[in-house]
Amino acid sequence: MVDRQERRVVDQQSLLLMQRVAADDEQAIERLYDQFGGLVFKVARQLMPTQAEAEDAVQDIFIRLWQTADRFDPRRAKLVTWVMLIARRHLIDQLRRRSIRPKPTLLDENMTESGGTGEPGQRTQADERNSELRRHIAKLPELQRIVIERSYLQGFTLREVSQQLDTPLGTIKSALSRGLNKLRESTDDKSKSDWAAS
Amino acid sequence: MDDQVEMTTQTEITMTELVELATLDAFGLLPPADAVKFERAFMAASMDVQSELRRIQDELASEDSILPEIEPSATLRSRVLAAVAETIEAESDHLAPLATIGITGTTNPWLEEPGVHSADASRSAPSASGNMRPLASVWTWRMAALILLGVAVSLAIFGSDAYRHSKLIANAYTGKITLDDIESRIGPQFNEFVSNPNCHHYYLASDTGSGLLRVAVNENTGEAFVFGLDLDPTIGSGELRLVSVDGSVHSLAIINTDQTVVGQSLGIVDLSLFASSTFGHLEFVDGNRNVLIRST
Repeated sequence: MVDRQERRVVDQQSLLLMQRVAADDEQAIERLYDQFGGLVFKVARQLMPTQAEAEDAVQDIFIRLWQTADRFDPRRAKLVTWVMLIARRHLIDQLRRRSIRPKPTLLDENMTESGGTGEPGQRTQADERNSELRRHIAKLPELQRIVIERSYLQGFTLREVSQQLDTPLGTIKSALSRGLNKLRESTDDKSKSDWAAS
Repeated sequence: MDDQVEMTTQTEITMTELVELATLDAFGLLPPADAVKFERAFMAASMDVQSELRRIQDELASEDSILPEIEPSATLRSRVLAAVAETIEAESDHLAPLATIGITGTTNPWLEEPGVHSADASRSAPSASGNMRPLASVWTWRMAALILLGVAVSLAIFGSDAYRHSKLIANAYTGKITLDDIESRIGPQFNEFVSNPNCHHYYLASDTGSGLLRVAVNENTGEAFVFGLDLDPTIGSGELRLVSVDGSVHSLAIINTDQTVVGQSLGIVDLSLFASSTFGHLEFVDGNRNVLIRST
């Protein structure tokens, strides 16, 4: 009961914040950045190949958040979900719009070559920025890790992945969903063990 | 929770499938057709199911342990805030009266402080809006041209003079299609809706995407029809949605954009959504839900 009331208060605060953002309130936009700027940058850095591109993407994402602020509905999702959804959609769209799409690669190749694109320095950087994610992905069954790698990290559409792997689209969707959920569970376990060890 | 989710739509969807869609949606990986399916299923699901799906999506979205432990540069905050402020300013210029269209919105050089045109300053200009002012003028004209084209197409149906006139405009605009082509491609339905006095018309145009959409809604029967010109073919298809004043989104149709001229029936729509007290706007979005064009 208390949880529900707390959630209602948080939802109400989020709604008010986004209403103020939609009304071009500078302080509200600053607050939105202070609340989510770090998180949005991290996901941008995970998916964009360079720091500069990641920072440009963060700018575009916050413009997009301002443009869509009036559509935020706390009954549908928490504010963090909304922000990350806008961010991820924008980033995946950017990956898909890149003129030169990477050759689809397997995680195993990525572990040694970091996708086979870019300069050696960039490869090391890419390995570093995604090392934690790749470590978790590596533990997944083969189909799940390939699908996550190609659709989420390389920006291929699910239909493209389905064609590349000659596997039905439904199977690809299920594998991706299971893989993403397992990732979340495995990181939850890690957080718990880290906490226990501390 | 594995039982089938009760819905008012004809299709049934299992909880497992719903969780699958919710997961892909949280990561921004849901294809447009599935997004519509998910949205409908979510809205039709019981409160408990909605609450569970919301929880799953919230957990997935806020999971940051798979993200790199990297902090943004110290200057990013000011760059982002400047970019948003600049876009807000450009948008407000863009909505200026027609009399000011064509005046470039460059800042007054006399009011600028000296030395701000350093390399850092130019870098601080947003990538999406760095050239926003001159572009805004171009896109404003383009949007005005698209709206005028829509008006001209409507007039053309009512009278032969106007017909000849808009035929010229249509030819001039597309360089390859005529109103005869439009009718032959879309069929007689197009004419029925355009010339029907019971139909209310909504125009969608934008400065950020190409094309024009026109939605005709018969206010007596609820039948609706959408007509599109020059939509972005690179996206393959997009979703036409109605956004209510309370922010809720209602999918109306998936529209293929591979033809220069498109038209399709929307069937019978819920007229209460189009009532002036609830209607917000119409928008056409791509697979990543970026709004390409919207009604005013």
